Amino acid sequence: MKNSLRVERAIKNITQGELADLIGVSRQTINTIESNKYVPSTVLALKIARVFDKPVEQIFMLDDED
Amino acid sequence: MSIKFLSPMVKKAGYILLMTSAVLFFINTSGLLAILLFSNNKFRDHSGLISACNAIALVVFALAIIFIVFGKAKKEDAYLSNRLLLPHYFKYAGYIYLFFTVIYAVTSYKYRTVRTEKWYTQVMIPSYQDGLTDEQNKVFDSMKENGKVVHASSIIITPFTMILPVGLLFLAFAKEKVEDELISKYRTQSLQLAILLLFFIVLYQKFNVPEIKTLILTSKKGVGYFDIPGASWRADILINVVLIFSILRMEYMLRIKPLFTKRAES
Repeated sequence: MKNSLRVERAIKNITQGELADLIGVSRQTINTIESNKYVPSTVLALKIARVFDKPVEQIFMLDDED
Repeated sequence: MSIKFLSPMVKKAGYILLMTSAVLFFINTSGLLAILLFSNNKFRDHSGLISACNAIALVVFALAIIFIVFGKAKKEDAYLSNRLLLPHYFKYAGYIYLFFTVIYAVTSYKYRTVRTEKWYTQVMIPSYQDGLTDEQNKVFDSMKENGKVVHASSIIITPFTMILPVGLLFLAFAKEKVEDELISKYRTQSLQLAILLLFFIVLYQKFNVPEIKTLILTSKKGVGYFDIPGASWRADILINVVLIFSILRMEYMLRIKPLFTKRAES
């Protein structure tokens, strides 16, 4: 699964740490999600989507391999 | 099961009981209890009292686990973290506990208990001592002199196998400041790897370390033999291995690995 988290964050001009604080996770979690090393749970994905005020599928997209 | 029983207060009571049992384990094992109660009579046998206190500490520990498992978390957002984990302040308690364990280890080595066992004068001198434990070696070495046996708590065995696991347990199972699903995943992975390591150690010793050795003793008084345990690792040492490995792996994943991660912050 790929995501556009880094782009969304750049548009909103917030750091990984600020996003982490907003959704109550560690900065490392945001970093691993952005690097596609970790796929977040549904709850976390929804929380992230709420911060950017966008539907989940606009931030997280299925890969061809998925 | 009533809802009242599952209140957050039950969980909190579990944490208090866990701390209490840790303190009880420490004062029992370190001999502080005997010093506090029998300071005037150093050579009195306290084993009955110590056993009773250990039993109490064990019951308190079991109760603490039950309360923590069944108690309701204050904030029920269990989807992001494991609600069975201990609060973050247990990490500080773990460090304090480890500090006192080291202090105890050093002082117990310096002021170790010494008592004389006269009946060992009748035991035959061994023809060889290969495979004996440190404690058994002390017995036979002192037998050669004047039949005196010095019993001393070992700097390694007593503190680091009886009370160290408690401090390690706190460190391994205390939440991080921000505990989320990724950290929970790391924790699970670390414990799984630690169990695999444990499995390897157990298999290794099963195939390579004899469980029982027979020691033959000879002297002018005759020949005797008895079975001694092999050099297999004890359960408490194995628990230490699991917990230490798990803690080190968590520290690596959370604090060391991110230092080498590209694009750490942008």
